[in-house]
Amino acid sequence: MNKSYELFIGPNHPGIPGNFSLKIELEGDTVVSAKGDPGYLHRAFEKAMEGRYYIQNLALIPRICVPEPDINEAAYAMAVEDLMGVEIPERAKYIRTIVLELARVANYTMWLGGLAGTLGLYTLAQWSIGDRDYALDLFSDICGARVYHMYIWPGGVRRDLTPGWEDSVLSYIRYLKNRLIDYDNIFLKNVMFKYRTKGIAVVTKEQAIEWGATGPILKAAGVAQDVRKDDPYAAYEYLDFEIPTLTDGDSWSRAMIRRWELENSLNMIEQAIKKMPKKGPVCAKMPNPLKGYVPEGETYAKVESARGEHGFYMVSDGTGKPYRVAVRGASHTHMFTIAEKVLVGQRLADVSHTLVSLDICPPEIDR
Amino acid sequence: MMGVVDKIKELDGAKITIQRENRIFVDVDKDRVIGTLYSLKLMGFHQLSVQNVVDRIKDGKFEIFYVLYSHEYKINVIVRTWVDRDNPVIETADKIYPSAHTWEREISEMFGIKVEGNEDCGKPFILENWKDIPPMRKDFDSVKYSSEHFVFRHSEGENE
Amino acid sequence: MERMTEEQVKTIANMLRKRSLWMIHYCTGCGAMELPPTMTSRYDMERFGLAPYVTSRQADILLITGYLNVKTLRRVITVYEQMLDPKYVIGFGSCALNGGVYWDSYAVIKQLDRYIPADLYIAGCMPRPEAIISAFRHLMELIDSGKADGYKRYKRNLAYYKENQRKVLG
Repeated sequence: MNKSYELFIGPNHPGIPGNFSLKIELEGDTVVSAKGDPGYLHRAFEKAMEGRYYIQNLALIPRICVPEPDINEAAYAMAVEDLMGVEIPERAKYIRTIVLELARVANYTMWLGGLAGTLGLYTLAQWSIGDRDYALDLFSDICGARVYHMYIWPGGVRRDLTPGWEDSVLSYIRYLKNRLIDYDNIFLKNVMFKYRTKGIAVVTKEQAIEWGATGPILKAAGVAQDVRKDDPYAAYEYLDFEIPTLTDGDSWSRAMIRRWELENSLNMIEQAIKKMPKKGPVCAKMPNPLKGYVPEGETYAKVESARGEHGFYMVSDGTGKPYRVAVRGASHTHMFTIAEKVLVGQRLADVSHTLVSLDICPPEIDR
Repeated sequence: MMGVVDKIKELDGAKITIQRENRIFVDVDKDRVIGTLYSLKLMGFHQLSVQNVVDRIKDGKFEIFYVLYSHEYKINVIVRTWVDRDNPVIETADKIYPSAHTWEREISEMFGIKVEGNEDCGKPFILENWKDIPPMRKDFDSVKYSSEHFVFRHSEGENE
Repeated sequence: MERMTEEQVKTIANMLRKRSLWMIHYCTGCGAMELPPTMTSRYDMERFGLAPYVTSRQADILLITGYLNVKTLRRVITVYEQMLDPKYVIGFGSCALNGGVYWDSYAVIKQLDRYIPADLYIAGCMPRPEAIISAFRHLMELIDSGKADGYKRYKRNLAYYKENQRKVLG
């Protein structure tokens, strides 16, 4: 009498982190198979970028990944700099590091709220998303925008920091470090949280390597891999930080890794502010952006996003517009190779929190 | 570190370009690409970061690239191969790299490349009810398509 | 006591309606990123009687948060038609207004109000939470004065909307 039935999760569902649909087959309330259905956020970025000048593309790229736009700017800028052979000024490297880490903090606080929300604890969602807002205020101090900053661009950053910005960042870090203790007490040390996430959605070390996982999934499975360490960009080579790893690879470990990384990021911002040269140029001298200034060639630039490796493969033919830009979002692999396999055997109640735990970001998949 | 680079240099029928210390381009024929990927995986290149296509319309070719990464050696290897634009057929790599399965679905939809051995290719993936030529090809004009299919808003005072 | 006229009933209904608006939780585009801050502790839209809601059948407001992909448009129309009267649509951000930065994209529609009637647009990419709240306040005024009649227009001009939808969706 075992009869399975199909259920559509999404595109509008609070558990899905965005506009994304999932077709699952259930037996009782156990998932038998899961299939992702992307394309609801497809905006044809890669096509649009081919038709625009390098400088015009700056307005497009942050929109590829909405929760953490700065990684796109950084990867794009790095690809252009790599093709041109430009070395960016020292101060710009540090500013990039601070902005990128602040974006990671904003992403993780948002993510923490999302995870707590899907597990039914909306209090933490109220807290952490409210706290994330103060980070967005810091962004709007330096570039005027809360979400899409367009601050990092080829050659360095768009303009220097506003006076006193470092102090506001430091006071925000002090504030958030105190808040993290509250988060732990209410959520991460909570017994219910442990019951709901221990042993759920396990990705073992072998599986993680075989399936090509990156970022927190790989770290939670026990592989210490991080682009910031392996192929340092910006000012990461001057900073002292460790890559956290755990061995279980379940939903709980991933949450802990992210919590750890959040604290790491805060420490890194503090270090970067301390070590940053107080004066100096923030942008290298660049030729006229409307002329064809990027020489012919191809390159692959990658950065570590909150979800894993985020890369831009860029081909230039020497004209003012890029010939081809291919974007690698970490969620692409995480959704179709990992989540579809990991969801099998889960209970229906765990589906939405598994997706959040793997940090699926649909705009990155569809582009 | 040098050991693996030497091993890559010995790959059959491959043209090696060392762009940087940790970024190596490996150009191979279409027939050799699966074999090359397999040998690279055995060497420790476990992660397929991205697989996608560059439309070289002037040469009449599609350039297919696979960006691989090794956790051990911290090296990116980019395998490139070329297929004819008129009859684009490649062999699937999803037995070697599971994540290639979805990348292949994407490229078969966006470029119209046939992937042999991947049963999901050809099914709609990102696009729905698409009737034109595959949109990521260079001869597809996005501006023309959107002005034919959508109506733009004209602000006041603008000549229609 | 005299019986109330229909006009008076409507006025009272609109007055009450504007104070409890439920917004369907459908993140159609990237503008949805500014909704969590609007909902949570800092901007707290619940003090205006606004709350996110899960199903389309009980919701009053459909927010089109940003660009609308053709594939999403099909779902949005279904959701819109599932919603019960009175229902209101807010076009959110410049992409819903005129395509925004995706003016040349083959996948994104350029004018929301050709496919479903929009009562209100919020300009900007992306609109800040203050702008969203101000838009909601404006929508309340429109409801109060009976000007938010998008759902009536949809019924009246159904042929026009259906024709446009067919053209895009095929």
